[in-house]
This record gives sequence, structure tokens and C-alpha cells, in this order.
Amino acid sequence: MSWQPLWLSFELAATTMFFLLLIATPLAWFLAFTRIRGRGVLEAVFALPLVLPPTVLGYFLLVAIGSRSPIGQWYQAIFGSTFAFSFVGLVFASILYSLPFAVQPMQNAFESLGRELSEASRTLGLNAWQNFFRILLPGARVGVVTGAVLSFAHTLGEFGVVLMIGGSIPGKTKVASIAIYEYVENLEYHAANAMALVLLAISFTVLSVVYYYNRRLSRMVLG
Amino acid sequence: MLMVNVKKKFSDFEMNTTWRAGREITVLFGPSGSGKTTLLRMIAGLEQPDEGCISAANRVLFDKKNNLKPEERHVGFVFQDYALFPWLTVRKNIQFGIPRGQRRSSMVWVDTLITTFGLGPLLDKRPARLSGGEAQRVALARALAPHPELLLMDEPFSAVDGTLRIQLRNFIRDIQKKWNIPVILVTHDLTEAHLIGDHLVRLDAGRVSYEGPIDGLVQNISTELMAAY
Repeated sequence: MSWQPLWLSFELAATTMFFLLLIATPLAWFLAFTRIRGRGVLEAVFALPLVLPPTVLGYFLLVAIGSRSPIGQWYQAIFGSTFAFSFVGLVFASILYSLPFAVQPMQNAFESLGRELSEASRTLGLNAWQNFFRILLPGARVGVVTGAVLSFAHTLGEFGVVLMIGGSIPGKTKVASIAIYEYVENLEYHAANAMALVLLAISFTVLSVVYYYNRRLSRMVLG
Repeated sequence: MLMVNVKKKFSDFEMNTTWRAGREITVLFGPSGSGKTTLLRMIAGLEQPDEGCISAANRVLFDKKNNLKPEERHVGFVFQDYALFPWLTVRKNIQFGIPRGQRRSSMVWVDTLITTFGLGPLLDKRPARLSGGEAQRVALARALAPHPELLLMDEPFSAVDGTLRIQLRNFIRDIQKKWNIPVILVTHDLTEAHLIGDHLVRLDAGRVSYEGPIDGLVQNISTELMAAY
């Protein structure tokens, strides 16, 4: 069994989690507190990957960033390689695919925090940025951590989108789930078993750590 | 001196008020939905009037050209539900409004607040472990810590009763006398208003129906009642 697909899955999950922390945190804050019309439509758009079959999302993305699309051509002109069937393309697709898994716990955490703590901090002299980093982020940290870890775990197990956007290029886009699929196709059940068990153990550990951390944090807040 | 002259349209009524508050306890009194809390929020910069002017200590907080942000207004606000930061200890809640660079030099001041409000034994507790009266005192100390130019309190007696209510009332009176800042306090309880206030502004559906000494309002209401019967 080659460890390379597992390592690539890790790299993809960690990179996706990093970018989702940067993108999903302000997005979740915006969705939690905005009073604009059409907020429901926006929420539905960002939640679409939850219900859309991964192959459908993968297909749309392939159309959007494939080498015939304007985005694909633009990318190729600048970087000299294709956007689809590359690690960068996989990261892009994974960010979209895992977005609701990051946004929703974060948004719930911001919403349950309410406006009053922020208003109190503003009257105590904090500007909007300081308020974000000293009130909103610490107050919603359980949701932020949960969102980040869920997006990591979700990316680790993705299959349909990866297959559509990345195919199975060893060292570039062949992640663990694709490798397991190929092992089974080639009747290499021993390797498939080993890799599936490793993925199961990692997912279980990650989720256990999150639940433990969340419980500890809630107890800490309650003094 | 605080001067308030604001207009704001709502779906069910239009607020249009002009009143003032000196270095005393001013009570904003009126039934629920008359606009008392909205007015406090406008003074603190948490809500914006449609037009008008708000000034405090010769500084314009809001008018046609200016609209200071809440953090620029130097206004202490005690929220009805206290709004203490649940993940911070009582000490850190009190210090919150003091800029980090000034915390060392403000230690004496923070200790004064802690002593004044009897918070010594609570300093390492988190807000979830405090009683209503304790949380109220922490909220007051926190609001006063950055030396506000005026203090706003939204229904400060709603969550406390009995002896605690009397204690809190005396506390607020003492603070106002000690630090000599305008205190504006919202209540819908006439007895409470009478017991604590110096100056009273009565609001009815967004309009000032009485402004003057507390005793004047009692007389005013008696006349209304007599006219009604």
C-alpha cells in the first residue's frame, strides 16, 4: 500500500481548512448579523453543497474551470498548467464543497452570541475590528473550531468532487478515497482495508477531539 | 449636560423628543414601547436617529454632519441583561474598557471600583456563577471603569428585588454623587422613578409628555386621574 494518497488527502484537507477559516469566518459573521434582503437566498446558495450530489457539483465545477472555460484558459495563460486536474483545482473545489460544513457551525455560534456583547464592547471603547477579534471570535470559538475541523474531516473523505475535478493522477490528485476505490476495483482488498481503517481512525479521532474540546470549553465558560 | 433632540420614524409611531439631563439622576419613564430604550441606544450610538442633535459635555455626538461611533462617545452603558463577557472573569470584565497600555496605571482606579462595589470576593469568578445583584454591580463597575462622561442604565432594577433593589438604588445615588456625572436611567415603574430620580422625562409613544422634577410628575398624574374620573 502506498502512503502517498493518504499524505495528499491530509495536505488537501489542511489547505482547505486553512482557506476556509479565512473565508468562512467572515462569511458566517456576515450571514449571522446582516439585515439585507435576500439573506435566505444567500444562505441557500452557500448551503447547496450539502444537498447537491458531489458528482453534480464536480461536473459544474469542471465546466466552470475546465480548460475550455474562460477561467480555465485564464489560469493556463498565467500559470502554464490546467486548473482542473491539478492540486490547486482540487483545493478550489474542496473549499466550495466543504464551505457549508465550516459556515453553519460558525454562523450558529455567532447568532447565539447575539448583538448585545458586541454593543457592550463598542460602548467600552472597542472599534469594529477589535470587537471582532476580542468578542466575536472568542465568543464563537467553539463554532469556529467545530467548523474548521468538520471541513477538514469532510475534505478528507470526499470522493465524487475529487474524481470529477482531479481524476486520479498519482502524487497530484489521487487522494485516499480514490486510492481505496482503485484498490477495490483491482481486487486488492488488503490495501483497501488498511487505508479505509486508517481513514476511519483519523476521522474518529478528529471528531472525538472536537467533542471533548467543545465540552471542556463550555464548562470553562460556565466557570 | 446632555441635550437630546431627535426624530425617528418607526412602523407604529414616530419618535420626536427634546429633553436635557444635567449632573443628576434623570429618569426616562414611560410604558413599554414608548421609546425609552431606543433613546438610550441613540445616545450611546447603537442606533441612529433620522434627524436631530445629541450633545454631551459640549461635544456633538450626533447631528447632520457628525455621527460619532459608540467607541468615540465616552458613554457608559449598563444593559438590562448586563451583557457581561461570559468567558472572562469578573476582574477582566471590569478591566475590559481600559486600554491595555493603561492597565498598569489604572490599577488604583480599578481597585477603587472593586472596593466601592464590594466585588473583592468575586474577582476570579465567571459571570455564570454570579447572582443577579452581583452581575448588576459588575456591569456597573465595568461601565464606569473607562471614566465615561455619562452613564446610561436600561431598566437596572428589572432583575433584582427586595433588599437588593434598595441597595442598588442607594449604590446608584452614591455613585452619581461621588463621580458627579449625568446618570440616565430607564424605568417603567413610577415608584422606582420617584425613589431614585432627580429629574424626570416622561415618554408616551415617542413624545415627551412631561419633563421636570419628579414631584411635578406625581402632581401631573394626579391631575390626569382626576380629569379622567
